[in-house]
Amino acid sequence: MAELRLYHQPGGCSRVTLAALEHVGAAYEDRLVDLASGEQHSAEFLAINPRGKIPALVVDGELIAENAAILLWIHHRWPDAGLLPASSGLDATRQLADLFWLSSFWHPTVRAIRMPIRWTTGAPEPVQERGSLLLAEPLARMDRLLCGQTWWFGESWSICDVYFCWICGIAEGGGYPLEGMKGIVLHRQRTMAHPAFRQAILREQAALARGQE
Amino acid sequence: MTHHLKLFHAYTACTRVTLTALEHVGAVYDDELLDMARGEHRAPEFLAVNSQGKVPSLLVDGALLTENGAILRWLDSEYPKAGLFPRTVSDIEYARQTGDLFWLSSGWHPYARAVKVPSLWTTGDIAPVRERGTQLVTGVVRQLEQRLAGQDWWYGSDWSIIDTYLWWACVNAEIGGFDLSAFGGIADWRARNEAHPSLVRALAREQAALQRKRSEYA
Ligand SMILES: N[C@@H](CCC(=O)N[C@@H](CS)C(=O)NCC(=O)O)C(=O)O
Ligand SMILES: N[C@@H](CCC(=O)N[C@@H](CS)C(=O)NCC(=O)O)C(=O)O
Repeated sequence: MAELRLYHQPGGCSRVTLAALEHVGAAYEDRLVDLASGEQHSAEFLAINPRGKIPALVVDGELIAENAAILLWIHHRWPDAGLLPASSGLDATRQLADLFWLSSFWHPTVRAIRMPIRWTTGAPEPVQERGSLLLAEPLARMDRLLCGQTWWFGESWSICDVYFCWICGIAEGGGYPLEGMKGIVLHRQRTMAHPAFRQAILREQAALARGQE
Repeated sequence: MTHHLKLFHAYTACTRVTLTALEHVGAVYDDELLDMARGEHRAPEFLAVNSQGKVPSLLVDGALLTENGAILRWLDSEYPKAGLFPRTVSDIEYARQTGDLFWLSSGWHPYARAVKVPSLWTTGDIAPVRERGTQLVTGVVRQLEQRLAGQDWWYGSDWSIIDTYLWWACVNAEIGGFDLSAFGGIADWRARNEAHPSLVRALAREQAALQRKRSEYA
């Protein structure tokens, strides 16, 4: 079995990666990277991931960067664990497109709301405002979808649910009001009650407790 | 099996990468250029194709595929011998390539957008967004320059579609005012990219679509 080590930050997008590892039952080590103090820019961390980002997964000494690329790798190593519904064909391509959408649209857009200084050297408010405008229509669309179906892909849970749940949490943390969106609110509750999510939170808490020793 | 393919694209957009991939694999395809300045990507005709109003949108036997990275991977699986990506020997190596695609779509592309179209990231003054975009692009351009120090292409001795994707992001940042002149490795690599037959054909195809569009207006 491969030796796995995940670099993460509690509450960061690496929560999705943790949930994936927990869901498939992988044995792995985890290491905290303190983004608040800029540890991602330290020489030690850049030696692991020169791009200075988490999540970063090291597999037998080799780095896999980018959340969605890690999720897909886990899915292919544990094909029967149900991390994603499709493994081949046009459905798998559509699923891949969903991951690109989450990573290239949703994530950078909620970043504008929650961490506007990542997109500007000036005042944060106009970037936050723009982020909220970009989000409004796709969020309303997702809300309608999730009013009619339980999970992102319909009947069965997948890691896209955790990714989207994390994204909604970041938007809300940045002040975007979600209360009125019944489909999204209930979807978040369902996702947070799912074992993979709960175990990811426990793992984050354990890492923090270790860090304080 | 051959599919009926139709690509919706836009002038100078990230669809240059998709066009290059289609040309490279030798696919037969229809294409339609949308005039974004006239809001054609928000018109009901196109929203009926892709409700998100984004390009690239590829119709495969009438079914919609979106997201550049996903389309590139799909073309690679349909035309495995065409060499869009170098063959990999392990699932880790494959995952690293996929990671490069995600890096481009979630990093390079939004960063270049901050430089070229900063108004997409702000309702206010664009100067501080362009400044931040310039910092972000500088970070990734340096990584590219470093990698090209010892090799001709991103993956070494052979071209891949990742080179075209990176080329597009660099050129777009430059159109937005980013100064690439300090990066000598990138200048040489850029010239190699621009001489690559698949990109040359893609740009000719884009130009032809633009001419068709202009004659529609005339
Ligand atoms: N596209 C990347 C984005 C990763 C990312 O932005 N991670 C954040 C935490 S959520 C980070 O490492 N930020 C630190 C920094 O950018 O300095 C992915 O999906 O993995
Ligand atoms: N993540 C998407 C991004 C697509 C995208 O942003 N396309 C731009 C052109 S480069 C577009 O369609 N913009 C129009 C709009 O967003 O309204 C991909 O890689 O395909």
